[in-house]
Amino acid sequence: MIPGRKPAPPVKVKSLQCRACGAPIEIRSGPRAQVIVCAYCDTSMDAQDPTFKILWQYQQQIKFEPLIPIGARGTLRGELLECIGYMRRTVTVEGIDYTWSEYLLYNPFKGYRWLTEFSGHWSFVKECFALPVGPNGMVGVNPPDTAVNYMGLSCKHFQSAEARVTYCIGEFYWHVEKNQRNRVHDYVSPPYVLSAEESADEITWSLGEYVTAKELWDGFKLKTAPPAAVGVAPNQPNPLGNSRILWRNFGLFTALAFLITLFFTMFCPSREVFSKSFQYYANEKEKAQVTENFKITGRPCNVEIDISSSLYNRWAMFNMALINADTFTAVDFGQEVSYYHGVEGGESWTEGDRNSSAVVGQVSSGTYFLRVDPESGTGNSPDTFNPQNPAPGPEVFSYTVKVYRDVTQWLYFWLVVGVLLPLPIIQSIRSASFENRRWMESDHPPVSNSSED
Amino acid sequence: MERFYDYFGYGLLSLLFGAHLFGWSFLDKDVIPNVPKDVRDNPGSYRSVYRTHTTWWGGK
Repeated sequence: MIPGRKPAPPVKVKSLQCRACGAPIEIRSGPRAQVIVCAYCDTSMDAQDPTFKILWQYQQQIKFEPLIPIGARGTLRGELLECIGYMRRTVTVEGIDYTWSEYLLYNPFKGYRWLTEFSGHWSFVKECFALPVGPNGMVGVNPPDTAVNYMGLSCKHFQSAEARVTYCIGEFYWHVEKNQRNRVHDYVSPPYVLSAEESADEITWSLGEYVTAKELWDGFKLKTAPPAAVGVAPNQPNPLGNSRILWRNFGLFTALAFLITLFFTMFCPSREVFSKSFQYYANEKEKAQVTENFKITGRPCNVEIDISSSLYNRWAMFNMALINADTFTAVDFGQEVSYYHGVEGGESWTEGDRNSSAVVGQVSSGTYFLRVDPESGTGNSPDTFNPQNPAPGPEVFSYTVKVYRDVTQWLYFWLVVGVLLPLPIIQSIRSASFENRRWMESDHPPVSNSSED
Repeated sequence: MERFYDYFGYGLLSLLFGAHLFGWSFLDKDVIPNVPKDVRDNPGSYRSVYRTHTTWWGGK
């Protein structure tokens, strides 16, 4: 306290009685209050008049209980606020009434704030400090600009309609009355909604931000349950997030996967460590072959075994064993090839492939050899040795076995891309569906009704 | 969702790096210890588990 100065008197709530019904009324916003509407008899009184003269009197047919009671105090976004007024406003679109609630909040140091509620969706609204600008400078409201910019926030036009006051209680800083009409224009950039209210002589701009009912109920410490949110609000943040972020990250991961694979292609190039050709004879008693030793050096790596054959109109199964010459441990696997060719209806056709490759993973350094045991045939059964005629017969086909080490598998890159891809796609579809539902309620629905054309 | 996708993506990249570095493979294989040592001189002394093919692919 400054010495010699009297302490400021405590802020008092001025009390009076309703001029019509005698019910007690409190003026919470002091001299700023213009109109007080009695919550009991709906009589509107002039708060600026020393005698609180009655402005209008009518019985509102239906009483609405505000979800946040008049006089309730709470903290919202760091501001201590008191609910001093409640009103309901209605717009009629294509013969259907849409009504929302507005709560007037007051703090003697911060001024007025609003809370709006429609279908369980809430927005915390403040008056704008600056005038928004349209694409051509001044904002046009008749017809409304398709987009406006408020202090760097770009908002798209959502809806314009004539709103009328259908219910009000409490005190207000302007002369509110039932059936008072204003044209309102909403521009959105979730979680924000920029609203313009047109009256006869001015346009008032306000900026609302989407708030959850939980935040409100926690802030005002309300004991009741909040109404469930229904549908999608114009400024409701998309809960599915921004699919563009996922697509950006998909691009990033794809680029990194490409670079990783390219790195191994360039700095760990594949090397041929063995190659040999063999012939297949249908009547050979022992068709299995064993190769010479070959060395695999360096870190454990993959080994690709390629088979290329001159197979024609038959199949072949190569039973392979990569055998460590030191430990005599074998890695067994099979490689299948089949190749058919013919002419049908004057058209040549082919089916299958003469070549095959298999990749054996994590092969340690050491000396190895291959055991190749081919089986082949033209029908269901493989060729079998005929002991009555032990000659191997003519060569049926030849095949070459090549062994490479450290073969970069581009298949893995494509697998990574394939696994990463579905999530952004699904997210985009779901996010677009959410936005579709949002804009269906606007003046700019994504899909126009054909009957309107 | 974005955070999950980040973890998912970096996890996949780690797998990709590991697959390239350690030479991982999807090949359906069997590791057989103690192959007969005379397999080089007598290839028939050891038969692969994949032997005896019974399926015919056919063709048109």
